Amino acid sequence: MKKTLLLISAMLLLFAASGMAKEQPYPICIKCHVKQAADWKQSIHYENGTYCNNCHGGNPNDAATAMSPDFGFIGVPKKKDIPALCGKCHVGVEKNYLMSVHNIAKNENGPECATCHTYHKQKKANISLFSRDLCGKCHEYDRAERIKNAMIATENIVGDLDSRIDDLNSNGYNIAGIKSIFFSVRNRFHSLTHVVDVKLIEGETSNIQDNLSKVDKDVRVLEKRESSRKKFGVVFIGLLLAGALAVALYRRVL
Amino acid sequence: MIKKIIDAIDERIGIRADIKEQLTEYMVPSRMNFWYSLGAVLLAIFTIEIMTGILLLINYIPSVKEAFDSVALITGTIPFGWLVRRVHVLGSYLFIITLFLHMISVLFMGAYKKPREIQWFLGCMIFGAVMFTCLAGYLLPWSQLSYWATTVGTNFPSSIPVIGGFMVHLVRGGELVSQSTLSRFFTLHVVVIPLLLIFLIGAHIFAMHRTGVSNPPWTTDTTKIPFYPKFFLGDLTIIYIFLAILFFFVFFFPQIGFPPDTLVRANPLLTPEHIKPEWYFLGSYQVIKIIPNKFLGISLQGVIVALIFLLPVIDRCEERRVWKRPIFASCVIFAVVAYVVLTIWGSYS
Repeated sequence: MKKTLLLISAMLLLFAASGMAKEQPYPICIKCHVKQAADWKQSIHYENGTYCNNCHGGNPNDAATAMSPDFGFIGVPKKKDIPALCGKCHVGVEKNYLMSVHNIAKNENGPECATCHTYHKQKKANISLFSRDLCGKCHEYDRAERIKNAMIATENIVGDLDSRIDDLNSNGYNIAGIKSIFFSVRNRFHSLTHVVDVKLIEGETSNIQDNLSKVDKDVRVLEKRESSRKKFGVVFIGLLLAGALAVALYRRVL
Repeated sequence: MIKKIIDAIDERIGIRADIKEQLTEYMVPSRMNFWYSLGAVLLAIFTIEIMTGILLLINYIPSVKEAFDSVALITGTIPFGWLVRRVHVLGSYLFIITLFLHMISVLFMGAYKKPREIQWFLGCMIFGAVMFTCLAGYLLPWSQLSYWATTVGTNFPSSIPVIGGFMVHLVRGGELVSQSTLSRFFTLHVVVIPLLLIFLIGAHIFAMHRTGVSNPPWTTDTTKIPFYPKFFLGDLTIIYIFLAILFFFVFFFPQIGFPPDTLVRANPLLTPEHIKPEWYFLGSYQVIKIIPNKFLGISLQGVIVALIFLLPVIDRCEERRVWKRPIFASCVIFAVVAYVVLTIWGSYS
């Protein structure tokens, strides 16, 4: 018996070891650009399926054409071109950034998108980006802190709604409509940050909060429905178990 | 009034005698336990799957343009549509788990041996048909996961020399997973395989009636008692418990049946990051991943399936007590452990 067990363990180990070395990297760019790939794999772009070619062009499936201009390869963009590059997808953000002092200062080594969001390890944007460490690299923190304070209450609502919508989604609710409105309001709010204008943010906040409260109302309706379903579930499962118990007891007295 | 109708029917076709002979007074071993009730549980879940399937069919539209929206309509708008869909999806999971348990218990109790070989063959066919109908049903919601998992799943035969390409084309109805594939899988899922399953299950029960229920190998007591009421009530108790488990997941953990990619409409131009088959195919998927040659991986699994199917022919020894068959028991335990390990590995790889 011991021998059989040893044999089984050895076979399991062998089976496990046989697959260890076999991992296929994707896309092809990351075979050479290891550092960038490691950063990208931690980014929101990676989570959302945005690959190297979406920003840099080229063919991500073939080494020969990976850097071919025929496939739209642009290589490393110049600093001045970065806002337009990111703005291909983040349209509202680019628009607001172009209105900001950051943009005005860009030609004097001021910040562009990657200065705050990094080149390849972009996280889902949130209020924590405002920090003494990051903003303090270029200027005093007090102005950034005032913007942060103006945004913090709304940001908390956004964070809370985001996780509640995710919960509903994972419970199988069709939240496409709610998510679309929420996505639009959240983007409007986050893109507002890029103007770096406290008065503008304060002025827009109440309007954004009104829109978020409409989303909150819709989310509450679904949460209430989920709560009712769970209560119904408790009663129903209780009845099934009571049925099992009753039948089992009846069987015993027969 | 009802009694009069039943009397009238009985007078003409003798229904009461048949019910007595085949059901209520059908003699079964007196020492049967929980494991013997799994067949009844499977029958109950199969009935639920058929009923919920029919309800889903009322609003489902088998078209690539409308399938996803029709499923969203069922879960979001149709009264109790969410419940019906959750029960159908999670019920299929419970069906497969119960089928596994049923087959493992048959293996350990040696109940596949003479004279019950035909039941084993039919049981294996039922298992194959269930797995296939689950695969076909997986595509129907036309979500990202269903589209891409079907793309990967239907590509497996491509590694078979000479006929591989033809087989992929035959299954998909074209080069890519498309409307042709959806139509084929829909027909298989809602008509062909359910009818086949009804036939196979009927034949399985018929064969069981002819051979009689196997006596538990752990006892020499061969006393038999009528199926009704003791074992009928025993089966009913176990069915209630399994249904309670099913509805626990339906109400409190429905997300195990609906990972995020199942909630996004299929997009043939956007490949999701992690394409994986349903959990019951993960073991098979992982074997193909870790064996360098895909054809070899498929062939190996084909050989394993053939060995399992032909088990009553291979293992002809009459001994049924598991403690007297240590090598066989070790092989079964190894196979179960390997399947579980590969499934977990497949879900994390």
